[in-house]
Amino acid sequence: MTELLYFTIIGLCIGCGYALVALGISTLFNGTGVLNFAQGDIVMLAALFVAVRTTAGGGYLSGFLEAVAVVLVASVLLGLLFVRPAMARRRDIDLIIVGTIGVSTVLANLANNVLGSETYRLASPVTAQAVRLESFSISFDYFAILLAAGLLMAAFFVFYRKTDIGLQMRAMSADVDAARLSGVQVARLTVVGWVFAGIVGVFAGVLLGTVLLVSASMGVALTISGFAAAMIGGLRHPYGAVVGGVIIGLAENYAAGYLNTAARQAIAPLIIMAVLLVLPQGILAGRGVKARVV
Amino acid sequence: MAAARGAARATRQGVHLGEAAAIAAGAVALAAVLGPHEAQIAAMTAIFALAGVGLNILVGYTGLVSLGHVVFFAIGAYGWARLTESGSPALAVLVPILVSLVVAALIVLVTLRVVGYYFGITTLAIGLLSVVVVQNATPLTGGYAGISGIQQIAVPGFAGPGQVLVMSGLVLAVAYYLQSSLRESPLGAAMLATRFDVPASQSLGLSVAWIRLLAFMISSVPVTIAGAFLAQLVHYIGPDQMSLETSIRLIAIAIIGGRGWRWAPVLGAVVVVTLPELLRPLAEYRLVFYGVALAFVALFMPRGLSQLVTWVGGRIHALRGSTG
Repeated sequence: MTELLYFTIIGLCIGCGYALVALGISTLFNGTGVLNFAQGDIVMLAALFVAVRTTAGGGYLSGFLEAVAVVLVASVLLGLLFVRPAMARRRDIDLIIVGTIGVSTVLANLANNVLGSETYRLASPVTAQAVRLESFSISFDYFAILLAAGLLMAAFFVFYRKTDIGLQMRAMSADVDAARLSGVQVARLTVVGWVFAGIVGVFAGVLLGTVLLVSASMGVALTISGFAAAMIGGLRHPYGAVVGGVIIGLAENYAAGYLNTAARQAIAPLIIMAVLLVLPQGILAGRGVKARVV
Repeated sequence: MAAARGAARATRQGVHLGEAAAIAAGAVALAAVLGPHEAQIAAMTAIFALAGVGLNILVGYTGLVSLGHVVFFAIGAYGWARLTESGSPALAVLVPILVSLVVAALIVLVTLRVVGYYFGITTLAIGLLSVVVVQNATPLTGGYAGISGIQQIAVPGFAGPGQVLVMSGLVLAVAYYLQSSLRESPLGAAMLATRFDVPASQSLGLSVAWIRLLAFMISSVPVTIAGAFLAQLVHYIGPDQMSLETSIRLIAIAIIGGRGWRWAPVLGAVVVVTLPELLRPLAEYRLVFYGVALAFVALFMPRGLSQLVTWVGGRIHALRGSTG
């Protein structure tokens, strides 16, 4: 029973981290029509960068700020790259997929060549403190993820609902042409969307990095978990990402705890297929919502 | 009118047949003159070009991006490795092809109701699953250790990698010709119609589901055979060759070559496989190189190398016109 409680708690916390990955994916997708296969690699980049920095003796927070700077530069560049195709080729999905896959390959292998292929455990200021649960101990890192993800989601809610840029992003996700006609600077907002996804990615990276193994090759698995979480919630509903992320986190940790690591790796892909068969629109979809053909 | 069209089609078929013969002859000639190391690189290129034919048909004719084709590559490679021990070479290729066709049909059944991006996500999920299976189904795949000591088909008169080069070159030539024939056939036309306009093609009475099913099954066959040849070439199959990176490399060949163009698999394989092998400085950053190439082509050169070739051809034509 204690075991079950333990897996549930850490699954819930890791799931909140996945929710952040999914949030980056779904906001970019809704705003610009680009489904980003490189989101997991942005998360990886932040986690690995901070891990390398802290191992070399730097501080966790200064590493975090540097990671924000690195990812900011990368996402502005990516945003500028994707502006024209996103406007001109919203229907040419195969090219957009291949383009972001290319970005993912570049990020993963640049990180591998520049930052090294070692595996790290990211140590945060609260790693040493833990809660005892009979024979198990749960590091404060897990609760930090829960807290930070909650705060970020709240901030995102305010930003998306109450600010002008948030309103414009929502307008863009509803109908690009109508948004353009109402004076939304679509090109500028595309870059904003990428930057937003990048920043959320950094937070996801420095948080998840404290509880998962960090390496240059972790990106793909994170992307898949993020997709799975976003699809459970429905790609059109950013808040559904929370529910989806928690479901994925729990399922993965139960699989890892009661079966083995192979089962853990297979969970997210299997959930993706199950969702496609049973609920192609996600669980929060209203009646008659059609799958979006971008 | 119809007769003229038929005649033009026959001429094109003749041209394609000639090109296929040239590919086969080129492979045999290369195998005869190259040293073992160069033959290894050439064979690797032919193998990936063969697999690229499958992806080119899928992406180029139906517009579906698959990131999961490594599963067919793995079926072909492990099937060959396991079945040559027990029986005939023909069986070791045909059984994996049958398995691939069944798996392809199942994948299409899962993704039948899916549009656009979801197909990419699902195939990526399938690719990841196949990697997990390869790493953990130890009795079947040898797990992380892989399988070594794999035999190859003997071709009299050639040695080592040259034998694989000759065999894969001949199969590539056949696949190349069939790819062109498919493009000319009613089925190929139907695939193209569904790629560009689903509602219109449905109103013409085409079944998108059936076309998708056929396209996916057809595309799995060359990839499976390529997997078997790879196992023969390096005499070893392990999880490092069957990673998602292989999936991405296959799609990169079709996209960089120019999706749907008949030369895309061959030229794409030269860029993605041969160039990094020949340019040592590239080897270190090989994956970065083709990631950049992939993103660049996707964003700025949607028709890949075919765009380049058409442009150069146009320039030459213009120059000839101005002098003559």
